[in-house]
Amino acid sequence: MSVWTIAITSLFIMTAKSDIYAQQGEKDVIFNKWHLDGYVVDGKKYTPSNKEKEDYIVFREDMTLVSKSEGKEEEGTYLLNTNGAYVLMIDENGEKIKAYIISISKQFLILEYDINEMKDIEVHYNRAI
Amino acid sequence: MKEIISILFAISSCTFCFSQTTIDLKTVPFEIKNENFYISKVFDDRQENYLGVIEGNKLHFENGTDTTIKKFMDTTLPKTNDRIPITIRINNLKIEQAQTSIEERTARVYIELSFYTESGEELYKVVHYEDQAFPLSDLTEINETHEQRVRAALEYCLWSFIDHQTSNTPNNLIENRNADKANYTLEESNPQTYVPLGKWFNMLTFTKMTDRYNEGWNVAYTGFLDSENDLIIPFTLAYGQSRGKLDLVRERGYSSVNAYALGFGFNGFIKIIPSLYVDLGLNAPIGMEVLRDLAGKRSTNFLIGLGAHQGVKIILWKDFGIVIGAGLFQRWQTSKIEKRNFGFELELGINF
Repeated sequence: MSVWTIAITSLFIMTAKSDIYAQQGEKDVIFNKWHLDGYVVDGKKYTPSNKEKEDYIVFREDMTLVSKSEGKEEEGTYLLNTNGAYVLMIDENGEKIKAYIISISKQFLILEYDINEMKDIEVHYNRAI
Repeated sequence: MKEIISILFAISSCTFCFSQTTIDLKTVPFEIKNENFYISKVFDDRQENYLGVIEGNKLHFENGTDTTIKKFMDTTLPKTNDRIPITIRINNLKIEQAQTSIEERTARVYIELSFYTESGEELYKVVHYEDQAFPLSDLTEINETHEQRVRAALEYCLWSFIDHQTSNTPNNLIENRNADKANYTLEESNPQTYVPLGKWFNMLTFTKMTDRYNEGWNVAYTGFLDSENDLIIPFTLAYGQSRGKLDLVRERGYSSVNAYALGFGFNGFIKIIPSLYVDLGLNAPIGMEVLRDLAGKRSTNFLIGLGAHQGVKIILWKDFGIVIGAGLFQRWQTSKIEKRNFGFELELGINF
């Protein structure tokens, strides 16, 4: 198998994978407490800063959420858009943040926030033990 | 001969028509628990029968907009005997894409849906933009994902309707989830009205500047996203040269002075009427001044400064055309000839 064949096959698998979440509709998997594990930029992983080490998001079944970001806890609500493969988080002030779900499993969640400063940064979470 | 002319006429008529592109809405059911309604009818109230025009192609659903959306709704909320029938009217549904920054293209779906009881009572209207940003060159992926954004917009509308009914109607028609938790709104109290996705302008311009001490010119590339109401912040890259006027240069003890500068700046455009903009700018030219004294000895001087300009700009045609501008400028810089200066500028260029 030539190098080019491997590259094209990998690209096809990567492209197809982005639809897997929406097709399976595994909505219940997100109901969990997700701890911030780190960031991945251009394939390189970065651990959270000291301020972020305790960060987490809890998605509840009643569509409310609790999050901790740099030590500050906030409550809000969320909408899970299966077709758009994103979660829209709304804080108490009504401000919305959209995060595309890159992948989700029982153990891991990868989000890409639709914010200019976070473009092309994968935010990795793992499930609380 | 007549047949040939008729054929040529038919062919050229066809080239001016839009070609059609069919969008196939995939079936991706999403879970809505404990719902006691279903969508019984969908009506398309729009005047146009297409979804948008992208690069000369009219987009439409193969089986019609109302039938396609009804099928989408049936997949997630199938009819059962114990469910209440709800009617949807499609007030607006548009697919767009445009360059929205120097390195980004935005694809967008705009949707307006109204929900009614079977007797015709309006329950809720939702207005929503579903947008997604892509790198500038990603046209293929944009075209392939229009249908996903339509599905995402439809799902958003359903969730918005469900949450609105839960939070705002005491004797709500649709009983749902835990009403205590519904303390947020997905939509603002005043629904958004449709604003077209802005058009990106590229301009190449030549500017002639004259003031008391210098004559100069400047070439620039400017790119900006048009907006009817907001202050437009364009991206500008410019290069210019100016030459000191001979009599004044000699007064300062030089036979010639030439300045070469790169300009990095912030401009603001304010659209007054279509094609007419007020242009306000601040820039920081950085470059070099090359001086030759009366004995012919050459020296250089690092040039840094601050400049401002105010003017008007006329961009005659949207897609490709002429740009004409005029304005005033003020400048302070570390010049050996004159540190403070003001003058006039005339601009001519093209947009594409």
